[in-house]
Amino acid sequence: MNQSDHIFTIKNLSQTYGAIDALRGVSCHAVRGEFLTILGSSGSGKSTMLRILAGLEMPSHVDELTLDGVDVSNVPANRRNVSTVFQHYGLFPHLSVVENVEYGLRVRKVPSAVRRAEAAKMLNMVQLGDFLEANISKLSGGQKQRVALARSLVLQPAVLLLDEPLGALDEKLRFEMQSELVRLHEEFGMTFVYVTHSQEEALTMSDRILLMDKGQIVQDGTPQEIFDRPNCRFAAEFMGMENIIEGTVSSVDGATITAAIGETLITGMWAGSRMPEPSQPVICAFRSEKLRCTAAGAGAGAGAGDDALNSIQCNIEKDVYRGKYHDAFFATPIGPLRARLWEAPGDLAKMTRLSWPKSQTVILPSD
Amino acid sequence: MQSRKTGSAHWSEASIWKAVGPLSGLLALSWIYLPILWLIVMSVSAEPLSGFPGPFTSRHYAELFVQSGWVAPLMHSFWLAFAVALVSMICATMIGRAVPRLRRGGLPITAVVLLPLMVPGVVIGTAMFLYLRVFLGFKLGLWSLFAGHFVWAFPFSLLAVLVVSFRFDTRLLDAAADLGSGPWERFWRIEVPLLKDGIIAGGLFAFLLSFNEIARSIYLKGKVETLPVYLWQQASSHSSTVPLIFPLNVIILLASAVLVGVAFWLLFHGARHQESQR
Repeated sequence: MNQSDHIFTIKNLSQTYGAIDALRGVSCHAVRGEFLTILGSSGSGKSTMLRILAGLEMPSHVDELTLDGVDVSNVPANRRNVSTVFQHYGLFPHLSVVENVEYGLRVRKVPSAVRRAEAAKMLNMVQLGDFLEANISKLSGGQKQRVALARSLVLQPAVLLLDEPLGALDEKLRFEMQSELVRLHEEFGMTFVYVTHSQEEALTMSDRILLMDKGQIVQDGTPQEIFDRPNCRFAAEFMGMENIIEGTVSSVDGATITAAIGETLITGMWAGSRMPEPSQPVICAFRSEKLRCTAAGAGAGAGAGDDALNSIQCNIEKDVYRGKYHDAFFATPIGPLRARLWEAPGDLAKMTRLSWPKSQTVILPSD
Repeated sequence: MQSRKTGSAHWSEASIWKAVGPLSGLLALSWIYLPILWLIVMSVSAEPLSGFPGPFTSRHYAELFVQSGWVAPLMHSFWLAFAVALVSMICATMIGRAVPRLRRGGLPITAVVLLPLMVPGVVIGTAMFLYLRVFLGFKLGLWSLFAGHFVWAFPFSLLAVLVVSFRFDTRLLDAAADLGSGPWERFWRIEVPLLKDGIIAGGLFAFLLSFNEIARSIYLKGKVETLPVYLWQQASSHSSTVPLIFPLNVIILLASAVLVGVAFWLLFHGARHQESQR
């Protein structure tokens, strides 16, 4: 990929607060026009990275920080062509809705008639055309979010930074705003960098996801890659793989790895970076919704005999009703497993065998 | 038990107590306001020193234009108060916006700065007089009045600014920087508009405190007359200008009332307004 396709490039970025390392040698980039999500739990350094991109914090150390091809490692926020939508909105309470949206244009000395028209147009685009003169305090959370969005978009920044912008909204509104953001991203064609702790938001909206943990990027890939092929234990856990079992490599066949857990063999797809050696410790991870359970004597067809499936003996321990589905907890020779059953499973006490596709099992380096 | 329920009321249940509150309130208010009312009535009475109202006349107000001995002290007091207010506002803004952002030491700094509120005026007056005049040998005048008044007025200004600055959301400055504002513009476009109620109220308090000041002024005035000192001298001297004190005080009272009203309106109406915007 050509360097000029990168709207920003970060090389070896570190940020320390006293004894705390918020970022530890992060390198990444965004392709012009992409919807890039930085995903991580609180304290992973994702917000720090956004603040450094915005220029609100200066990095402790960075080898390269370029924005649209220009070195900005020492440029303060007010001189960067990026704009942030904050989780706290950061709307100015002493200004009306339209004055808030105009603010950046006013700073840029745009004549008042022009900036008023631009601001009104942008507020129309976020469906707040009737609220130009409204007081900020009179708006709902969702409306405030739209004002903040309009205030940033009106500046046509090279990169729009969104810091958990939907965090404070209720679920229904969040879904609405997700599709709204995707629509605006398509309409404006600018680069969005979206910070969130929600894998659901990340998976729904992004072109690419950077998964962060403890100040480092642990995985960089498309939503599907990260969801199906998490490359480490943290990624697997974060992406919701409930069943994680430790074992050792038994055999390697291309990307297909068979791991031994005691007497049991589990086969899956290798998702780590370097191919494993035999008897190297590994982790087998698979989703609870991929598990099926079958009763004794129901025939080997659905279980032991199928080459595409991993299969194991089981005993039901607990069944938790969760409305749309059941979470059934089984005791097995490789430890407790959880199965998410979408249909009424019948008598779970009679279920003696669990099976799940080998293609839906990932084998990861143990770290 | 039965008898207690139906028997005669306990003394604490007597209905008279409900009347005691309003009555004592009225008494207290009259204690405060009657002298002022009396002053106003006397200012339009022919013989204010007789202690009896009427016949009514505006003669004493007209006399103010003839006997102009009060003009110079008024001017001194006015400009002094103006300077004290201005400098207090600036200092209170600078310190008031910084204190909430200190990681530590905010409380001790605030305590040290606000402590002069607790020191009696006479003590400050005497101390500054002895230090400046006797120890350092300076010639006292408007500048020492300014210094004394500033020490007195500044903590009040700071308190007024702290009321609003502790409520100020510094994340708004991030937002403004992000939208392209440099430090200077962030201060004027975001901070000042959101702190202005406290700053102005603080300035008005400082003005009034300086304008009314007498305890410190007596020590620090040198040869300069301020209005409160002048009025006191006139009132106690039994001279022919005594009736002038009445109208003069009424005018000062009205001007002060307006200033205090504006200050309170800005501080509390404005604060509520800002609160509702969160």
